[in-house]
Amino acid sequence: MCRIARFLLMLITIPRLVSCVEEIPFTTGKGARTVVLSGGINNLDEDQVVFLSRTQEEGQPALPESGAVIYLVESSGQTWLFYENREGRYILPAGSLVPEIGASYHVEFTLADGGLYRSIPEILLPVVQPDSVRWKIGKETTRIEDGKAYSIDALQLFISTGFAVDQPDTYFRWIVHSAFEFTTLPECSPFRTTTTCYFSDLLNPGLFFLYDNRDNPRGVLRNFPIGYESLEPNYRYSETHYFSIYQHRISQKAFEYFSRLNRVAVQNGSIFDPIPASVKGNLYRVDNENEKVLGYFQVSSAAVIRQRIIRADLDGKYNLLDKRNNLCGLLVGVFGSEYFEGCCNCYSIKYPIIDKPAWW
Amino acid sequence: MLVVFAGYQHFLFGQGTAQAGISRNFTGVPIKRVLDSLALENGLKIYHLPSEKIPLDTFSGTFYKLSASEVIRSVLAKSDLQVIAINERIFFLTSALGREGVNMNRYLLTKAKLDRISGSNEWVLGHPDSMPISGPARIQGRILNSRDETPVVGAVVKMEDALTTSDTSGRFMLMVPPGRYTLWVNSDRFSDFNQTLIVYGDDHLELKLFETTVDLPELVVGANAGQKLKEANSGLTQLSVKEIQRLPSLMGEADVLKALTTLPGVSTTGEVGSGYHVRGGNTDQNLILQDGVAYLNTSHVLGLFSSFNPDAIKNVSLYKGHIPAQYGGRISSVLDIKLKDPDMEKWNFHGGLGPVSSKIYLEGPVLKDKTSMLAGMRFSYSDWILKWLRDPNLKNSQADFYDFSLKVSHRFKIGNVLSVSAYSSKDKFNYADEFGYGWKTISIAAQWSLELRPGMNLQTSVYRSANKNDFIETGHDDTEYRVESGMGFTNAKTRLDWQISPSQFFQAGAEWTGYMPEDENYRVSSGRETTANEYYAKSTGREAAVYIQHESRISAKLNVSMGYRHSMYWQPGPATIRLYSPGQPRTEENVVETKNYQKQSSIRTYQGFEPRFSMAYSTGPASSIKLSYNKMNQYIHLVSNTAVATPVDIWQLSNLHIAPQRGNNYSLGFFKNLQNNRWETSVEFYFRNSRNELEYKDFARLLRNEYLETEVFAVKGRSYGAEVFLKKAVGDFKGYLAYTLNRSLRKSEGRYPDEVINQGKYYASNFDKPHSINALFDWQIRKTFSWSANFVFNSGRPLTAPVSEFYLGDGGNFFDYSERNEFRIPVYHRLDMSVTVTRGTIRTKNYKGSWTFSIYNVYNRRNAFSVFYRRNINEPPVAYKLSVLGSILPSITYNFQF
Repeated sequence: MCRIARFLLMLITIPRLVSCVEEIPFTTGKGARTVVLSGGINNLDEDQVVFLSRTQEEGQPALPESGAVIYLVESSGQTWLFYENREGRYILPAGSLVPEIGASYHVEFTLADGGLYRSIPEILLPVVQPDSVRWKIGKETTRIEDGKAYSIDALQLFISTGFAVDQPDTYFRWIVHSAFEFTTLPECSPFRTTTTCYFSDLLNPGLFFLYDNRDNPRGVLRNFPIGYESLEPNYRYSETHYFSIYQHRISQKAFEYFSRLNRVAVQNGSIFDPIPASVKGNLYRVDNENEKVLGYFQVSSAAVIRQRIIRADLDGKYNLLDKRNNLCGLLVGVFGSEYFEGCCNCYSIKYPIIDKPAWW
Repeated sequence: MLVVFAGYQHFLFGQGTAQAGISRNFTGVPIKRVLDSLALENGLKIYHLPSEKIPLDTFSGTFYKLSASEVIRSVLAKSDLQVIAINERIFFLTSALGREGVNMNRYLLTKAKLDRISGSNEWVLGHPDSMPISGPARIQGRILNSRDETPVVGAVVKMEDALTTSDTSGRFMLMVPPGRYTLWVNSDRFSDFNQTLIVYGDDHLELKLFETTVDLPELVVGANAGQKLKEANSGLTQLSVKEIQRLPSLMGEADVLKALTTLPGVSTTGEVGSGYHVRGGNTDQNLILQDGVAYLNTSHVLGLFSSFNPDAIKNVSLYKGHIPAQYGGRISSVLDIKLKDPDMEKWNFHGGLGPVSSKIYLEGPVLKDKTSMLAGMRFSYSDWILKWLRDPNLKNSQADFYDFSLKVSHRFKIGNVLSVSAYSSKDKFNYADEFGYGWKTISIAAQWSLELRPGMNLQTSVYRSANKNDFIETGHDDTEYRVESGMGFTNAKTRLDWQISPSQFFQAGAEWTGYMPEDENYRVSSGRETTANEYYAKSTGREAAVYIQHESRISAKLNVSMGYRHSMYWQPGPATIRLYSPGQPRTEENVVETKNYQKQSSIRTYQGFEPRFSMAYSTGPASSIKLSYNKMNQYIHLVSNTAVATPVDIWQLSNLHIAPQRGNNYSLGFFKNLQNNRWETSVEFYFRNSRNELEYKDFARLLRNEYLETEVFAVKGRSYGAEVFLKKAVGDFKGYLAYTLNRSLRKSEGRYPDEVINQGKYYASNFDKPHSINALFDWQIRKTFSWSANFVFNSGRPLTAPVSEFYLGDGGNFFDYSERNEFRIPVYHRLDMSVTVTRGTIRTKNYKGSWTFSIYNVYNRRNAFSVFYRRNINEPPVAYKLSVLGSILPSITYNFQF
């Protein structure tokens, strides 16, 4: 009887392992030094940024490409020269460009090796202002660790907006930046002084939040998800937190480009995954159109809307760690911990630090 | 040369005796009358061929106490006729001695031998006096079920080297020289029949077979291995239903299609995925028929199980080389599944209990000897498996299916049978709360089989079927997006089968098919409110075909099968068709006109010229060479942009913009049997070139697209390979080992950038797997205990993989992908085993039960279904593989029958 029971137990337990995802060594031995340009221009009075890089061998991240000469060209023939403010990062500083709605723009750049590249011109469309943004706490599935799916508590963002009245099809792309402040504990300073730092980063990198109203030409968009942020214990919600939501009205081609990137970005290996492919943008080499050029130069009309969240908004809805008692901990006995480092020196916090924004 | 004794029988019969010698005088009497008188007066029998005339001359002479042979020889001394005396009573007159292949000495020896051995244990066919002087005797017969006297179709009838099968009315005909034979008849569900025969001449037999008592149906195919060598049916594979049942199976569920994929030249893309690939063809290039009804979806649970109930199946034939002209509409292969003929006398009940599904099957008479029926049903309770999975989404998923088969046969009289069958299948799959798929198949068919005369049958059938699927996606705020589509068929066909002679078979027929896709319906709903309800029209099609097929045995060594099928396809109105700017890619921007066609107007017509040829040449008593050529046309296409086909992929008909697929199939095979057919060996080479196979553009929008021609384009296909096969066909230990070299390539020849793949070079199709090894072993250790094992090895399927990564400043990091299918996932191999035990189970006269213990993936290999890349934040990308069935999977199934 015991043997039978053990056998039945085996039959039941073995299938627990039936489906699995696991890491494997897999190399293609390929890779090419392909030019990549991203970024674009919009109507906002902010720095207009493009990034230039080259891909490397398989498994290596792309490297910034310095020394290029990059022009923005308007359909009227007027040009603006980007300057490189950081390796591979080229900007038109805020105020230097006042783009004209209805005009078309393209980028033209020459690399250090003499290669001349260009983007297909795009028209700057009229701006569509978002109506409102709201947030709630819910569950999101993420696969950021070891390829497996995890369900996490997340702050989810939703937008409501109308569409353009000047043409039937409107294409949106939302880019959300998550910003927060953090003030160091006075106990860290012999003079009990504190420092407040501001941090900002891109929300949900690798995911594009897109919508087109081809199926909804006359309606309005209500509560459309545009991003989420994990509520795992960290510094983000200790004090004031801002989401800056950029609603970009983009061209149909840009919409298709980012949609395609979305499709290849999220591969689960399942039976329903479409076969991925290299995504062609709107860039080409002038003297050799067969050369692959990656990336997209986006010309968009943008509007920004911000959502402020303070700790009190979340208390009771989510069990946030208390800065003094949990997050930073009691000073005694926690020297050397990462939290302590951040609580005393906000420059050690692993997020891109920014100057206090004007809109804060 | 066919000589019948009737030519003699009317001629000379004497009544007297010649033992005392003949004394007689003739003066000027015609020779014929002389012989008549001698026969009549002396009791002689004098035979001659009708074609060999007795001289008209007269005879004069006197005999005194001469023997009959002396007298007759004297009478015919001046003629060309020679006299052969069998004894002093029987004489043959012939001028053919030594000519025209007639060996009278052999004839006489044969006859003497037969006379000597003829006894009570042997059946004597033909009359000893009617034995033909040369040429074979014609043995015709009919095989009936002893229980209800219904015809036994497809029974193997063998007399030494002569072999045939019974036709739809149970009739057969063999031509054999006079002699002593063992007649052997074999058919599934019936016990073998053996009988010694003494064949003198033409005769007729009626044989009644008794149903076998084995647990499971068995179609013995290996038994006619010797005959298979001679048949001009290159690439025909038949699989025993018993073999299917014994094959180690996933979750104990015997599976027709999974069993097929253990054969050389047949493969699947992975453990999931709908359909199978034959000799480098796509899944849509296989015609799948069950009792003449074509099915598009053949799987449950995304391909884990096939949708055909093995209990209801009578036999399975896969045509992967020569495809007879009666089949058309697909360019790669034909799978013809025949359902059982329901039992006319008593009720039978089968059942099976498995871990994921159960089945019931019953058959029996409704009106004894007139009307019978069968019904089978399988249903799943597989949700619990998903609950065991680690992935939380899969854990919250749901997968259910059922299928139901029904067949009712009514026999008006022997050779006149009407059958009506119905089939229904449904699947539902929900992935967490994110999306779900459903698909179902419904069909109803009627078939009328009429024997016009012995050896000539008319088969007429009509069916209607519907294949439907839906895709549901849940958006934000519980908004539900649903896409429903479907494909329906109406088909009518008639076929005449005529067994002209044992060496001549003729077939002719006509077929009409209406392709009736459902318009794609897109609905958006939020709660109870439907916010969008749109329809996307799909083009319809009609196909008509006529065909003839002739199979003949040219000589003892050469068999030839030739056929021709002519198909015609047209796209009827009403329809709204886009016309594109000539010389420009088919895109929305290049639409120059939208044209409306009225109902019944023909928008576009395609003709299909489809010659079929196959021959087999015996190079020795146990070896042959076979070659075949087929030209095929296909008017229905599967459009998919996933690595494997799914049941919810889109079926697109040929239309103004999408031309039919056309394929040329060539095969050449060498076959040799060893040790009296104990071992079968073969090497087959094949090649197929095709055009107008549909390939999708990168990132094609396939759903909700009325104008699919903007997302797909035609490519050329090329498949080639070789199959090496070694089979042990008889004995307690049986099995086979097969190696397949298979390449399946495609080439785009588009003029526009979107229609060029991999710079226009040949590239591997999604199902290109160059090397495959299949092994199957079946060991009947004891009467109550059998063991079987199955090993599969395949090259990894092609993969489009990342070759570099790049950074978009406002978007994150992304991969740049290789050319299409430039790489491969790791190789696939798996070993399965099962044992079937009947000892210890309840086993009475009326009840039989058996346990099957099955282990799938014995050594627990985590075969890759797919390989994909992901990155953890701020870390390099990592390759992962998904193993759908990445574990050992034991199961127990209990089968019963009463």
